[in-house]
Amino acid sequence: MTVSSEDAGGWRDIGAYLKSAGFRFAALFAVLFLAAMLGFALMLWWGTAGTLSRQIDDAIRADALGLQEAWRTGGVAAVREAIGERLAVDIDDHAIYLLTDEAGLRLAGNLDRWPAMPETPGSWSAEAVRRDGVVVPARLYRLPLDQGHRLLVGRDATDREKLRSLLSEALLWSFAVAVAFALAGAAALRRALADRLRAAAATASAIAAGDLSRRVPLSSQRDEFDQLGASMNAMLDRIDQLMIGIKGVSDSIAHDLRTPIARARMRLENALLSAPDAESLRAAMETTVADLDGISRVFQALLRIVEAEAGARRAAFAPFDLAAVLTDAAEVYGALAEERGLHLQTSWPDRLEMVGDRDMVLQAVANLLDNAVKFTPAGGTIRLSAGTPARGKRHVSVSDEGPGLTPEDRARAGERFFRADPSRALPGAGLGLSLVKAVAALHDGELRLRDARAGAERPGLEARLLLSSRA
Amino acid sequence: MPWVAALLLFASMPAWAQQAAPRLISDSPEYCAELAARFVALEPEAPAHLRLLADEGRQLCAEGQTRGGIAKLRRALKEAQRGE
Repeated sequence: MTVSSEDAGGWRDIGAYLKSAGFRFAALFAVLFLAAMLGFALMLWWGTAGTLSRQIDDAIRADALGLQEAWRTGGVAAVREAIGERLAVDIDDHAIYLLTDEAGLRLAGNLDRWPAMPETPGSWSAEAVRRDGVVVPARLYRLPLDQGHRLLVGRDATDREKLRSLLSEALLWSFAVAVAFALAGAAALRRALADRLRAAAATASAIAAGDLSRRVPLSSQRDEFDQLGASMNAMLDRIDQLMIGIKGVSDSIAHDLRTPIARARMRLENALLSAPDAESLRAAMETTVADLDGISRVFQALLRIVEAEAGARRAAFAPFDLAAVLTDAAEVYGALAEERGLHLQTSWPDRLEMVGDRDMVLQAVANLLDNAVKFTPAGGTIRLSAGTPARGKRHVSVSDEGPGLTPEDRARAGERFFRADPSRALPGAGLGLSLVKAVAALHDGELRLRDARAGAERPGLEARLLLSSRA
Repeated sequence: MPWVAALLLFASMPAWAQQAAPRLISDSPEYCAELAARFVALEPEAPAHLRLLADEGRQLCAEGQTRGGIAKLRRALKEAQRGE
């Protein structure tokens, strides 16, 4: 026997349907609903038929104890009289009694003979008795007496069985309706889940097909599905930004590194073809090595930025004193500023404890000071300050007296390889502020840029690096 | 329909077992006579309406409607005992 591919596909579809989250949620709903229904049915049964059974048993037991007392006080005659009296006023005609002697002969009661029931003292049993030729259920209690006599007390259980029957029938119908409701509810739940997830699935499919602009549509309900959709959209925005960033970096690398590489190649080629002596050739090679070192530094800077942005160094976070870092940076750049006729002013508390990557923070501060030294004209002043602007926060500010940045350039500062017009003539690759920005993000902070002296002819630039002191 | 459970209970019982079930004898003419004799002891003290009720019971038993007769005699006995 062979299975066709259509059959196999059908079974696969059924298997996938049974494994789907929608089906499992729906099945769970149906099971819980039916379990609640079953619990309700049990409570109803216990409260009605169960109560009636217990009442019948209590009445039989009390009746039997009364007759046992009569036996103790008056013997056979007293029990016979008591049974006769009780039967005579049994208007409901439910009572069953039987008193037999040691030979099993009936002495009193309304049952013609002893039923076949277990011969254990005080035992209960559900028996059938005949009334007017019709077999009816009965609840019987056997009580042994002295001298081989036996007493049987019971009740006709027809009414109880009727109630049980009615209750069973009602519960069966209720259960059938509950099953129908559970299945309908489960189907509705599964469909609702599928409907809510369809938009997210369609978006994911479109993105997988290459349309990165698609986003999950959000409803006005602001429920868990909207939260999931919002998270997906935030993730997609982030991926989009990263993709744009990677594309920008690729373009920048291709554009900005092509010139120095081409220049190095041309220099080597010229030296090879037209160097008059070994000394000229050597000089050309030394210049080329310096150019290649510069290219290597650019790649190192890029790698550090990527490392910071990826958060890979977060595992190496440790407590350190920011004040000591600033002291080290001020020592190096103070000497450099002095060489260029600049003045470095510093101001920060004795201790500024924080948790983070000390080397990265030092690199960021160095980049800011490097820019300040580069752009401040001779005789100018650079200000390096730090403090605690808010609980759990640290800031480092570097102000210079350079040409500053236009609002448009400030908005783009931090992009890789971006260089404002005034800086194109100066050495650098346009990666310094990119690294500062990445270090700020690594420490849950940010980089803010503004004019150091608003309104002045040379407004300068104040770079304010905000960092979280707790990683 | 209300007898579904009872039918299910006894349908599974074989016929010989149903025949073997003990029989209630408190619906026989003899028992009717026994109740009537009991009422005789209470009759002098019983009010007229209870005597009438007992007479109706005896009459029904004599006409073969034993269950109805027994029910009336039992009611008469119960009321008469209550009045004592």
